[in-house]
Amino acid sequence: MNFLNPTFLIALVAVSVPLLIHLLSRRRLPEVPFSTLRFLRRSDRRSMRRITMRRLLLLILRMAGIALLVLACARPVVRGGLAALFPAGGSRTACLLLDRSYSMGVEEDLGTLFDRARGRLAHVLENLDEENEISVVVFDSASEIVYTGERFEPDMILGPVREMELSWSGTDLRGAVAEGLRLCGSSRREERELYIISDFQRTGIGGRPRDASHVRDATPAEEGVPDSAVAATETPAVRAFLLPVHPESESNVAIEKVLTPRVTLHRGEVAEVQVIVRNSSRDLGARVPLQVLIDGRRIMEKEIELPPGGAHRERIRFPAERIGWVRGEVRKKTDHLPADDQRFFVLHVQEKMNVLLVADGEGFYLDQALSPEGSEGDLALTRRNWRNYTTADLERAEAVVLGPGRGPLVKDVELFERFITSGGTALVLVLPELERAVRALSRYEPVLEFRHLGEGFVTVARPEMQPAILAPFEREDITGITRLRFRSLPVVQGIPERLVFLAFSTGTPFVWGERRGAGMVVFLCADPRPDSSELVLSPYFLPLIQQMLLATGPEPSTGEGGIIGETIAWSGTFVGEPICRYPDGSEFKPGSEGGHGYQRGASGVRGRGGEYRAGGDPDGDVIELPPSREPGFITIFDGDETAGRIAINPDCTGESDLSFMSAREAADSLGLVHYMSIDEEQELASVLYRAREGREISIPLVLAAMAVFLFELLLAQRQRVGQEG
Amino acid sequence: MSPKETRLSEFLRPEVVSRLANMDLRARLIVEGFIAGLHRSPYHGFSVEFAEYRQYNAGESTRNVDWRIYGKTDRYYVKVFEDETNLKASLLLDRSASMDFTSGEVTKLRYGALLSAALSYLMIKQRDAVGLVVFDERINTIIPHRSVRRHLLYLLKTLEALTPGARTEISSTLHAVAERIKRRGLVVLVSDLFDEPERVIGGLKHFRHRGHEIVLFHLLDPIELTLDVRGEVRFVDRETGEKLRAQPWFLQRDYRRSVSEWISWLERECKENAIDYNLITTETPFDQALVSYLSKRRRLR
Repeated sequence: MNFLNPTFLIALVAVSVPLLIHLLSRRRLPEVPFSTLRFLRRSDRRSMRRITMRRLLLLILRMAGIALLVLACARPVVRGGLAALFPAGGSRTACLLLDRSYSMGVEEDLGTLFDRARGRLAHVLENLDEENEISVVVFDSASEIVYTGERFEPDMILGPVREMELSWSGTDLRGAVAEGLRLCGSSRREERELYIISDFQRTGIGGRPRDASHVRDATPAEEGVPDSAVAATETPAVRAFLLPVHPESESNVAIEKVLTPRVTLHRGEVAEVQVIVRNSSRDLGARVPLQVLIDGRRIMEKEIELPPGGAHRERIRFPAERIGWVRGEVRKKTDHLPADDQRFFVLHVQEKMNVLLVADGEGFYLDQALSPEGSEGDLALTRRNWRNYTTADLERAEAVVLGPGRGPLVKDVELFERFITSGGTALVLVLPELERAVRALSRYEPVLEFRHLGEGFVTVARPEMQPAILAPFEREDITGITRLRFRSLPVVQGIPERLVFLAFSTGTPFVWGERRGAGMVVFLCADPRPDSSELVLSPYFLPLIQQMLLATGPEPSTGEGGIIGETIAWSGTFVGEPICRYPDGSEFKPGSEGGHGYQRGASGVRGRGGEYRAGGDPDGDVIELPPSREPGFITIFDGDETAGRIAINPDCTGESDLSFMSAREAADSLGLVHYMSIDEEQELASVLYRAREGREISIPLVLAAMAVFLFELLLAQRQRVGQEG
Repeated sequence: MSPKETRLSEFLRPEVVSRLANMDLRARLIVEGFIAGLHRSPYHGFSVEFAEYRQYNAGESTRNVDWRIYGKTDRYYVKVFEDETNLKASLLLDRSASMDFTSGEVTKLRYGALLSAALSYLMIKQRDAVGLVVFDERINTIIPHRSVRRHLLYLLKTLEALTPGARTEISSTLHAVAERIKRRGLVVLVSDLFDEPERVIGGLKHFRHRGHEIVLFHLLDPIELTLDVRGEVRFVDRETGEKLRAQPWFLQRDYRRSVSEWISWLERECKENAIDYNLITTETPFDQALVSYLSKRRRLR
């Protein structure tokens, strides 16, 4: 006999409760003085044995009743001759769940885990009768029923399964089990069996099952797929078999993510790509050679060292030289899970950034800083003064610099605010004439006080953390910046410290930035006139101004555009009919297939890695692309021109972590109460025979417990009646 | 029974009588109440009743010479009265620890003392000489026979001050007392008889052997007859301190049978030995006990 729910056996401790009560009640008897015990003793001698026997009987009945109830809860299964006493089930339905998530792609000497899983599926089918009702569900992050029928022939199932390729998706074992239990539960067959063939990857099972009582109110039809715990409790006759396929080693190093500052860069701009590499092994360190390729050309090769369970963030800087859609690729040496050893990203390098400088005559130095003579620079500068700039100038600009001069009127401030919140970048100099603009464009409405220090001066404090605007500067440059003397400065109050990139040595902000809507506004507390500070004439003024505009774009985001298996939205402006070429070489023409379309004039649709804006027209056309099944690049053509490119990668956040649960842990986590684990070494046929032979005897035990309690009740009642006379 | 009799009978209930402070008053209440209930004059018929004339013998006191007869017949005759027989009554009261038990208000010892007081009162009213023996495992108090009023007060005072004693040893006490009382008389034993029955009867036979008449008041508490105790309890023996865990409801049948057999045996043995056996409980009104005594007294006349 074994137990399907052995945890309940702990409750056998409760058997001692009647014994304790019995022992305790002996000591609490009231004492009654009596004239003589002569006749009592005489009677007692005759009756004491009967009393003792009756009391013992009551005690035994109570203990036996509790023991039977506890045993019933532990769901005992009997086998052999005893099992013959209980009725057996009749026809059988079996649901086979096959894991094809990409962690099953771990390669070993005899093939991948998925190959072994397919072999185990074939073994299970061999042990099922052809008259059995069969469902086969393959799952990764979603479940797909590949076969269901009242009867089956092994080849009908094994054929498609052999052809089946490993998925690039993650695992949702909980959802798959729920689907399997739903299929079993909907069958009318008496014997219901669920076979789960998986690596039982810890990240694929997730947290604890949801509270069954919470979901129980909803019918499976309402829920779509029932919760596993609900299904397990509501279809108690389902017998689950867990068939694990575990790799020999759990070590794996994965390129987890590639981050780029933003997709769109300007030519000449220094792009910083961050690669996150993680070692999921708990006990082994790793030395991994890493390569970064841009348009097929290797720009970096480095061996990185990873401690057990550790991650490494490698920053790679390179100048964006070629205009257009740049294909980036990060590789590492292939290990036994190759799917996460390569990752793709895309950078879109544009021509110079369109900058609008709004300043009157005093903005000469600023003008020079933004567009130095004799230099191509990264910025295409349009200069306007405070009186003659137009909304058309703003529409063309990607960034606007508000400099000295007359300063803005109320309507000007509203225009700039709209420009910023719709995605533009603004650099505002904190000057007395721009106080209105500063107060309106900062959401903190800072208190400003402008001081001229005469013979005195202040400097800039050395920052503890290097902000993005200092990224291109060397250590010596930063030291140089901190030695610059400022003779006039605004004292700004009310700005949160976390927004301040650089501060004066007095503690007040020197440069701070705020995100407003989709855009960014940067405030620089420097007067672009030589008599107010040494900054304007220093070699740092130009790079600082340029970096403020270039480096304060969107937050570092991933240049990995899409995830395998997910639909992607892409917006752009097309002259002709767009054509999309997929990593596997197939092509897709938007509007040619149902469900995925091409919508002219739509806006606001974002891809996973950020918004893809191809041209100057913000209200571009939106293409909804069908999912890619392979990693690589989707290239979007507008006629012969490349209109866009999207990197496609697997979501390997959880799958690369090759940590597996034991079958028991998995069953507990999935809320399976009636399960058996079958290792690869065990002979499946004999295990199944033993499992099927077993009969659960919970109900007979409950009935027996009730009978015992009833008898005890009658006996105790009789005694009570006697006691009360 | 008339309402007046009912009321008087109510006054003779042990729990009512025991509430009175003074033993003398209690004894008087019992006896007077009892006699009033009989519809007879308290002194008529069994007090200084004229019996016969006999010739005067020389040397006798001349106090009882009937001078009228002498005037008519010129002979000396003396009036002989009934009470001149001067019965010697011995009250034997058991004060063992087992007598200090009650399931109600009045312990057996208290009841026995009240009954003895009432009997003493009644006996001395009849000019009988009353002696008192109080005992447990040995004789504690012996008060010799007297028939004067002052003696009654002494008896009552002794009974008033009674406290429970040790274990019961009735048979040896009976033998010892039987040896002491030389003149034949009436022996009244008040006890729960929790001793070996054969030895108790043996002691009583000793009295019979010496020509005494015996009235036995077998005094028990009602619960000692029924064992009407609820729940599981631990009984503690009054005399030995021994403890016994029991479920009384379970023992009741056997217990009642044992007690019943014991009483029947005592009854039968007493009958065979011409002993007047009276089973009374602490709930028995005193008049019933007194009736038993009087009927015996009348037979002795």
